Amino acid sequence: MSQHKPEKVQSKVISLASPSRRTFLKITGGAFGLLMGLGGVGKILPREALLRPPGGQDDTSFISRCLRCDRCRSVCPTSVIGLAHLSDSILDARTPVMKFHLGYCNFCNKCVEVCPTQALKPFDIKTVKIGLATVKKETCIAWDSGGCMVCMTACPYHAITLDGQSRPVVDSHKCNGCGICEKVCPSLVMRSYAGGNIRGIVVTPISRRGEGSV
Amino acid sequence: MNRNRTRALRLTTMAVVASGVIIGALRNVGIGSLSAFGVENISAICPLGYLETALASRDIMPYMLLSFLVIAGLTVLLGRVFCGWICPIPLVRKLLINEVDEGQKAFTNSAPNEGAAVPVLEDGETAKSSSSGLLILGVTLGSSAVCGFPVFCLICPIGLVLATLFALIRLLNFNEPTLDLIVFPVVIIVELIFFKKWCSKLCPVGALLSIFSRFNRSLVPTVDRSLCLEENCDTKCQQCRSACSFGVDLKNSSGTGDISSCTKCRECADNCPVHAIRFPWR
Repeated sequence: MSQHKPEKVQSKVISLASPSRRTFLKITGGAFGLLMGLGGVGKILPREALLRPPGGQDDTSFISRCLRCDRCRSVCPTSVIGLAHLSDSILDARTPVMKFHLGYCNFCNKCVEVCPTQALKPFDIKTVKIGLATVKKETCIAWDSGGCMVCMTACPYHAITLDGQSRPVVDSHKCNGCGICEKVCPSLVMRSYAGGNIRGIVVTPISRRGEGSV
Repeated sequence: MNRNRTRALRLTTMAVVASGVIIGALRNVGIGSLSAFGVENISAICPLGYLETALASRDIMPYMLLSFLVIAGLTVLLGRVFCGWICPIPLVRKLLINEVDEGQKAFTNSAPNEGAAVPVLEDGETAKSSSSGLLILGVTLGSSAVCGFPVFCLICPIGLVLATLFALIRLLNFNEPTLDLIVFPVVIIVELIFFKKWCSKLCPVGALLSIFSRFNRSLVPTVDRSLCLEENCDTKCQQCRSACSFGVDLKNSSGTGDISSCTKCRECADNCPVHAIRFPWR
């Protein structure tokens, strides 16, 4: 191959070996740089804890296995599973997250069954905790004007009680983060806050409880 | 078969597969996407995705190993049919730049940029080009093992095409506007337009499949040398070689190795002026 090469080209590449090998190195180097860079950036950039479907609470294991295949989101009978976006972080984009303003979790186990790589692991329904319901003082109707106890009556696990002033209090031992309280909370409808997912009670990831919580 | 008819047929199967995924996602039946699709707890998994997650999580996942082996077996039986008939990327390329396949023309154009005057169809070159995919496959697997998550999945154009459609569904159904709807298409465009030879040179999924299709003996195109113009009329026809996006040289290879990158797209057979190339079907 090298005999056919024009003089000029040969002198240019002489220090770098043959042109096809140079392309070769370029491709490998480029791919290596790109993928390791992407992986490194993904790991280094700060990531906030997200509400995963049940069985996906171990983040290291979850992120190493999730293929972003859409099966859990699609199979969910209550449509509570949605998709994380690039704004959550590069690493989390397209992974499943719980959108409790759209639905709640009844722990039917379907998402775990369809997950091909066990990013969602089989869970014990008695101990699993998706997150913890947290009352938001500034948006909760009961905290503001009182009288509302929708979340308390909706909670199937009796994790919400009312305090002396009839304001909801969450029992962190009983709450498993099923999200039905967030789903039924009428705060947005009654108070017409801007945005479609503002609630007076929201489920927050266990590792990072929201500000202004009770 | 007419050239346009084969291409139309290929685009149709790709569109059918893609719309099947989209309809499944819209109707929430849980069939998943090309990363993993199936019913109940049976999944056909993306073979590259399997290897990546297995390495990242340091877990063989016996069930999925089975699925991986089935896919590998199918590829041994049928060759890289996935690349030519199922993968949505040629369909997207058709929509973007009105070209289904990469073709050799794109390669000759990009050759001067590499600063090298390498003849397009040099034997060594084709051998090397198929192994550049293997190198990227190695880098892909290595990066997953080191970083602890499937890195390539983040930029895989197949996944991103479907992810864009999923994001669109979320936007229309739940009013969830996201940055993804802009970034994903941009990544796809960069991959397909700036790296013209994505499928044949860079795609690690294709490279992984061609490891298995090395053992593929069926569905292999054969040249009827009694008809071939190069054999009989002493012309430099080369139509079959220039039609192949994957640089397969049917006339020189003995039927293995090089032919492993054949995606059964039938471009060579349809471009042959004397119909000397035959696939086992038609």
